[in-house]
Amino acid sequence: MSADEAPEVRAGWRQRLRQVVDWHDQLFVAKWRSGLQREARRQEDDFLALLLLSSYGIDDPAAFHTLPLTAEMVESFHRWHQREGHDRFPAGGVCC
Amino acid sequence: MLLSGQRPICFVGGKGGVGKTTVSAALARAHAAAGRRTLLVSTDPAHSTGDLLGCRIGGEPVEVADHLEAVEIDPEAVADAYVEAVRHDVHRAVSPEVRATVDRHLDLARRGAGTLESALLDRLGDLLAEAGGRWERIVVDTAPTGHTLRLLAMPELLAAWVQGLVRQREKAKGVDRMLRNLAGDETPVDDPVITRLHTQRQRLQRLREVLHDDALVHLVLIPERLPIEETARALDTLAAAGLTVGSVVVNRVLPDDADGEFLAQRRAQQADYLDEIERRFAGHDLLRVTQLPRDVADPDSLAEVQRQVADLARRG
Repeated sequence: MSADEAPEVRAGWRQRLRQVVDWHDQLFVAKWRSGLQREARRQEDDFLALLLLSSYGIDDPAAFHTLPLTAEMVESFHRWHQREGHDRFPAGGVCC
Repeated sequence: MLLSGQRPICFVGGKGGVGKTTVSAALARAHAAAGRRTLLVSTDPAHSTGDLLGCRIGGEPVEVADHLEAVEIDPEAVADAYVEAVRHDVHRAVSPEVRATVDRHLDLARRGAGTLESALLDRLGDLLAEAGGRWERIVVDTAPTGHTLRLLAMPELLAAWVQGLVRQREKAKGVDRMLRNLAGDETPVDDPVITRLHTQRQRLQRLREVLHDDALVHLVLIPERLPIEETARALDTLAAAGLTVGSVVVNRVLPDDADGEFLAQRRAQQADYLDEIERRFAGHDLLRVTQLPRDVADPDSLAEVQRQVADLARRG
């Protein structure tokens, strides 16, 4: 590829390059990405479980200090219970 | 860090009914009389400090004498204000449909086990943060030994707990960041949850340092079997928690001139216990406070106890 190639030739190269990238993406990155997404959800769930210990009847020494996180976490609670197949939030509820 | 003799904060602990409130008030008055700006904090839910000083004391420090302010922490009121502040925040952040459920969650949290203890600790931390500034001395009258030892150990445990939460959250956000990088998004993201957790952890960490470096614990007992045993256990627990013991105050020692057969017998028994106290707490600074003919229930009788503990104020 050089600067004096006609524009349509350059466009052809770009298209072929994009196809290669997409193919590579589907073959390797997509698998990795879905694995990462699963891992991200799992880590977030672990964090939620730690915040909600008292909802499960487990003594949570830091419950008072983590209460201000409620504002930021309501959305995550919501995503979590929908993913777990609950229409509404179980155990007394935080969001719906 | 200050030399132990100059630590600005002292806790007065001991078994129920041994005279913690009296010794605290007398000690605070002695500091104030020496010209030091002093705060007397009552954390005992029984709150008899106001009765003793003969004035009304509430949740905010009020001046009760020259150089002397006093405050009675009301954990219920502190917890209410705290939860209401959170509610205000949450209501602004969430949609109206979920407010009722969030409210139920907050109401449950307000009544949760440990909430009042945490509220007390939170308020105490705010007051202690002003030691060496607004107040040169802070004297804390505590609830009976077990509660106090737990309270003093809490900041360290909680700081570690919150640090664990920070690590878990960072792990989750780390995976999140990798996902975004994969999508070509390199912009750094501030996580408000981590920011809040850090702030909480720092507060707890500071309180832990204040308790370890700037505070003493005086233990009060009376010359009887059960208080001696409880004091011995408390000394072990305090040492294990890395907290510094100030003096062991032996309260209600019968005066030599107390007459009559009954009192002579009691005095003989006290003499045995006093020997035992000297022996078992030999490594500690001991201070005896003589029992008065009448109970300490007003500023005048308190002045006599103040004279007796003045030495304690001079040492610290």
